[in-house]
Amino acid sequence: MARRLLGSFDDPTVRFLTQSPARKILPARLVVLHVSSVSAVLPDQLCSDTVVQMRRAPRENAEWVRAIADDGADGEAARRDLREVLVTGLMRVLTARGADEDLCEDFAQEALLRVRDRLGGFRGESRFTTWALSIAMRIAFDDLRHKRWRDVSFDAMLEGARSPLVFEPRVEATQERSAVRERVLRALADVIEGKLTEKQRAVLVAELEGMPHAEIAERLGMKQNALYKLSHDARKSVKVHLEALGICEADVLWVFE
Amino acid sequence: MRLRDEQVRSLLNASRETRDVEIDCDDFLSLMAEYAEVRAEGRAVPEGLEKACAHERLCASCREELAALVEIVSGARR
Repeated sequence: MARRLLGSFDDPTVRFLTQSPARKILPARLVVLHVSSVSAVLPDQLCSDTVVQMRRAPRENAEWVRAIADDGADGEAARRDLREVLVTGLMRVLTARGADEDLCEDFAQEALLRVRDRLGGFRGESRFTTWALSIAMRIAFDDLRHKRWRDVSFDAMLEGARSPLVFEPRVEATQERSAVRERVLRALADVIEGKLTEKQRAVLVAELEGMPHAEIAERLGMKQNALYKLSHDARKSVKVHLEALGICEADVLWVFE
Repeated sequence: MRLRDEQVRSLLNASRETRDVEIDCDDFLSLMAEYAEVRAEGRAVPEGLEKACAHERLCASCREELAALVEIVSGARR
């Protein structure tokens, strides 16, 4: 049966929620919630068509901000709608990463609280729903990364950072490449062992092992922005040292890319 | 401490991308929604978002979150 849509579907998120691929990943309960926000009418003159009409136009950013802050019925409706958007988005990207519906709902709930707390920080440079989803992404991925890394020993990494630096042996195709490789590796060893602090080395090793900053910060008892500065200073030392030795990007690319 | 070639490469890349002034992960989060929409729409990155672009190249965690958000926004636009 042909479906005719009346009303504004300008908001991509609303359109997304009502398209069939999105419905496939919406849990049944959410579909019911969403369908409750539209009304189906069957005018006599359109006997063979299903006409779906939006009861309410999609919210503009300013309306979202006002409604989310509202303690009354408007606020409740807006928070329910935003929660649907968040859960749907989270499930779209997290199901393949092993997160189930309950977990996505928990993330969405936490994100809703944080969105409400940070409403003043929304600058209106994006759609409100995208902004809210960015907060939900941070909450969800922080949690999933923490679960992935919580059993990895940080002490072993610290121990590794204290031991002498060795590189993977490799035979280069030409003597010239071998010489450049040797020069770059010696420069790296000099700066890592001679110019970085013990804490910078530890952070560097953890980063190179793939440990996320949030996790490293927690293990070191540091704030994440302080850790970022530590990491930045370490990278800067490496960059300055390589430049001082005249090791150019072309050499590095030639041997290591 | 033993560094594999891929780790050396990663360190050299990070060193190459290092700037005097960078934004951290919290700053990136405040720009992520706008940046994700620019990426999803295939627009050129405006000047105000270049720092987000630079951070994305350096931070695997933020890169992962951004990719997920771009996927959602792109899906919503289709």
